[in-house]
Amino acid sequence: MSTAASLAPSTQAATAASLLEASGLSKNFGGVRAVRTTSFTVRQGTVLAVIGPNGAGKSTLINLLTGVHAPDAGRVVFAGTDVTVLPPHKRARLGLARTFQKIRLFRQLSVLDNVIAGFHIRHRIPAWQYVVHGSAFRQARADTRREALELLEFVGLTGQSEAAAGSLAYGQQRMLEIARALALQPRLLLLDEPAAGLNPAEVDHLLGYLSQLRARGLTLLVVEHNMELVMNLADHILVMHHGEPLFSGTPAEVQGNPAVISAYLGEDPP
Amino acid sequence: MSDGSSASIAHSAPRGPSPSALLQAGKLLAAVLAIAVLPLLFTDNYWQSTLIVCAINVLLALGLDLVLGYAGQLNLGQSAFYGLGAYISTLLITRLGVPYWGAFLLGMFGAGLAGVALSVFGVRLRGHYLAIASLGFAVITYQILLNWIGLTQGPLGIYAIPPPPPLALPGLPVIAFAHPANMFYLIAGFTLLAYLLLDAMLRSPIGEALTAVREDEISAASLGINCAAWKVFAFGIGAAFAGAAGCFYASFVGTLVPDAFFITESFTILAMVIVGGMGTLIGPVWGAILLTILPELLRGIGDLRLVLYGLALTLVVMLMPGGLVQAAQAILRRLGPRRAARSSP
Repeated sequence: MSTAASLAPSTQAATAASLLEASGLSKNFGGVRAVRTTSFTVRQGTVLAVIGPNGAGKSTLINLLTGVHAPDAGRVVFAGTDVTVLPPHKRARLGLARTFQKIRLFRQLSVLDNVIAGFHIRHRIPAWQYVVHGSAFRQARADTRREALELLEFVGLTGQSEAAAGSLAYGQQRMLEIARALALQPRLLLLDEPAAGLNPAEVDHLLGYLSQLRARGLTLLVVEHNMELVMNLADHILVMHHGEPLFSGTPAEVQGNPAVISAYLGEDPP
Repeated sequence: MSDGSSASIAHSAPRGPSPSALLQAGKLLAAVLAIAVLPLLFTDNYWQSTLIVCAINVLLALGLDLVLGYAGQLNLGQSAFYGLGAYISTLLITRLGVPYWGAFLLGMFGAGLAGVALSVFGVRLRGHYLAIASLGFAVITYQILLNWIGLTQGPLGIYAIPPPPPLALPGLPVIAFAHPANMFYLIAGFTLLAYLLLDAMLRSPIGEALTAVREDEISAASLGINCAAWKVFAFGIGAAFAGAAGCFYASFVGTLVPDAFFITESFTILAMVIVGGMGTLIGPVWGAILLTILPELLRGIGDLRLVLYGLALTLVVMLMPGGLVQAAQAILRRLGPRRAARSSP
């Protein structure tokens, strides 16, 4: 809580470096304290990975950051705006895009239409042209379609643009969800277990794409079990255990930390 | 391949009409011709009245399709919005002497406002719960129309409702809407306009947002789509369409009784949308026409027609879950594989 207090007066200075600021986040479900006084910062242009055994509170943390749940205590500041109580769609409008642990595509729609749906907040067409389609409308539609196809090309789905999203292979659905989130042109992309259910070759592909995104300067927050992905991608790792931050540091520091190792192996910390 | 096609779209879009635009224009021309010719083919009063009822039902079905087929919200309140439009416009005309088209607009607006109010209250409800809430709204509205005798005259009904005022266009003979053929042109013309408006909206980002809400609300919200607002939007427009249909109905029939807006009307409209194919615009048009004409054709066999009607409905739902439009597309696809390849699933 002391960090939150010290941040309050100098929000401007803090946002120059940090894009997402969580301070003192707590959430209880009945008697279960899913997340307790968790604070962390995601700095602009970096990759933060959140790891931890099952039940460590990672999913709850994601829900607090994306607005699915409101925290019992603490606050979330995104891009200089206090978003603690904002609903998910308003956070998305501020530039917080996400993917889902359990893939949530528009399964009946085509692959291309899934990506085009991601352009919703970026349309700049005069309102009356929604009813009477003028040249500005047609130009904007053509631009959207071209950009959507470029995103599909980036994730390697060019050939499937007209297929139903639900008919894609599992790994391709993951990539499509990332492409759809990228269509928002987010400032921060939050990936909820992107490697879950992928085979090692697919994980390598995913790592390649995410590394490219990082190289372009996109800020990432990745919740993940797959250590190969985490260790190769993250600048900074937050280890959660029993709803609390157990340790936070660089990949090298995390790998050498006895408390982290024992949390994963199920022993009592020394 | 996709590179080539996207490039060609980017270049051709602002310039001349594309093949799909020409096809659209052709279909529009066919619809205009059909509307123009139908009252000339069916000249007796009975069939011209049936044509008018067809046009009114198409308008009702289009309004419901926006809510059910596009926004994915199961709305059983369409009969209430229909009745509100009819009673608001009629009472404004007969009690307050408001000019017809002013009353028409207010009836439409009032029904739309009721739709907005219902969806604001029901915004957290989904599926069966929303269906029950909207059905409850339809029951309450019906009971108010029936029992607020001081205002609506209840089951006694309101009589001698005038038709729309004659239209005097320069250089043309005066068009009197007391004549059913002219009334049909008026209502069918309005319905066609409503169709074109919906079609344009649904082919814009509005359609994408509504479809996203229908497919997965959590996913849609993660893309910045305000699901609650879009549901309210769909309910408002859909109810306003029903309100317009109600205004036309009152001035066409000339008599208003609450029984015309009993909750079974909601289910009839629902059947039109489902039989035709919800989530398409042309589907509810055919569904409404079929389910208006079919009972009339079956009138000769007495009460047995209800059995046949019910059987036909059951068979369509069982054998063609996507409605007539999807069945037609499937047949076209079998006849010519390339023809229907681009139609949406």
